[in-house]
Amino acid sequence: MSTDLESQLRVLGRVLDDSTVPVTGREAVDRVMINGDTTSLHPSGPDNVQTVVTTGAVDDFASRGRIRWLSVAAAVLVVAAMGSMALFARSDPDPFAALEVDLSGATPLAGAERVEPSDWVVAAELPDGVGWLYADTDDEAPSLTGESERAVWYGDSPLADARDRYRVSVGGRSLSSGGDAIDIDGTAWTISPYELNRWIATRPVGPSFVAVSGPGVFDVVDRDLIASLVVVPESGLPATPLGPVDQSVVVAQTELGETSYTLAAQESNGFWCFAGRSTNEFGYGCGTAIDPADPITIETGSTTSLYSADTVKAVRGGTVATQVARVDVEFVDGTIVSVTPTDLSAQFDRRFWIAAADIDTQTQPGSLVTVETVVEVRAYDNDGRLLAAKSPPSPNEQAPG
Amino acid sequence: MAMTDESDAGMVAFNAFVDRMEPRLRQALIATYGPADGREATVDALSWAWEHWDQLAEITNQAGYLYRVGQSAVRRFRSGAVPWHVEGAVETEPHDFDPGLAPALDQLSSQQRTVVLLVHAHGWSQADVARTLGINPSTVREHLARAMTRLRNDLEVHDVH
Repeated sequence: MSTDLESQLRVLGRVLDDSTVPVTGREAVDRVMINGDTTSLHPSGPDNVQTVVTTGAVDDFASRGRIRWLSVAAAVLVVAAMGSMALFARSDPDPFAALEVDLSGATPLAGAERVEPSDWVVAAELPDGVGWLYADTDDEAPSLTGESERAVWYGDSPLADARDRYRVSVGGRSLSSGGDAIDIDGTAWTISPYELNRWIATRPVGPSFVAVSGPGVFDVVDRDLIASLVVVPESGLPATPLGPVDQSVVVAQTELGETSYTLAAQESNGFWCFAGRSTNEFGYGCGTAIDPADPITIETGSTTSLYSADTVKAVRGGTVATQVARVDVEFVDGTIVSVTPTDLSAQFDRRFWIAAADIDTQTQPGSLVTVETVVEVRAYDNDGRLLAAKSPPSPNEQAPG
Repeated sequence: MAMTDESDAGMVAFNAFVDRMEPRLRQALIATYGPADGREATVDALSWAWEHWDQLAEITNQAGYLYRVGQSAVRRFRSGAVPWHVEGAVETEPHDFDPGLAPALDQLSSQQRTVVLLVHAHGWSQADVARTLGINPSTVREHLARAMTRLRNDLEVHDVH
């Protein structure tokens, strides 16, 4: 056997190709035909080709994953009655079907001269497979007029990487500098790169800025999304927006020495914001989707830069399922802190934990490096049985922001 | 339903497109999701191409776009993290690679594994990988370096150069 890794990978590549039957064009077309009577496809096919789908209605406005505002308004009453937890039902093949904006009171953004501070900007058309995730408000970066930024988030899965989401906001400051001017349906936008592998499009609307950002390279579907933007009142949103940080409620608390640490949370439609506080420290993050079936999540806390200190105060917090009676948090120096998960607000169907410890940095190699302070979090039931264990992702694998 | 001459011509064009696009799309999606889900995702992506032929013509990076369509398809039929399983021949027949290679690949992040397999197993250029995955070329280089280091450590392989 070759010991050269590259050679081994080349062999594996040949095996993968040999063991996988190539896909044919006929197979792809057959799949469209099979699904044609059940999924409201739009079977256009190449130019001048007669339709090959012989059953089922062809409906230009029903392509899955797209929000067509002319048709959505009629569906809103039905949608409103559906529970938000359907979003995370693992057996649901289309988790976004239940969450759509009421566009009956919508007006196109293209012709708007201003957006009222109580209004939101949403997309009436989305790329295939992309749907509503949540909305939030942020008063940390108000516009020049002092209005809070209101943002709606879209994505192809609630649990997917946040960097793959689309974001449409109004009311904040313009974050981009420079960029390419582009005309979209008679309206001037500025397109710029934004963060790694994302683009952002901005335009002023009266005293406010509207900003749209999305993953990858700006493409025709992104242009369609921007062209479809409409202004809606907050009552048109399918779920209450996550609010500013001061709307979070304390759900768990712990002490270390004379310092008290609290974890505060707020939730909308399965998405959460968490705020960790101590006497002189504060951390806040929003937009986390939690699968209700997940026994443990690790949401907030410190990854600590080790300088010359012998010890650092390490704090971590998160959530557990309601049947969890005890959480053990093992830190990198071997310290294990046991806490009882709580919901001090009595508002949620999750329990919350926060654990703090002085950890010995001498056990860590080197200095001036960023390390995760927690090795593992373990959840136990009332009988002391281990229900689940989870380790946080390494600092290098965590999404920025 | 009998196909017309025009539809035959359209099918010929689509088949030519599939012949050109399918191998690399399949390699990319299998690298990300394993042979079974990767192949399913490839069929889904090509089905989408058939349905949206006009729209696809306007897209400059068709391979990258169809890769994302395939990703969306997998996320629809597989909730949560998708393990990378190498079924069939790789697991059951002896090959000229370490039996720990596939499990070690499974331990990599999805993007690291995809980059490693496309570059070293299928011979893609790093630029092609970046274009198809929609990520920065410097990110490809970083994923590749970290993944190869981790694979060498996991497999205790020490290449002689």
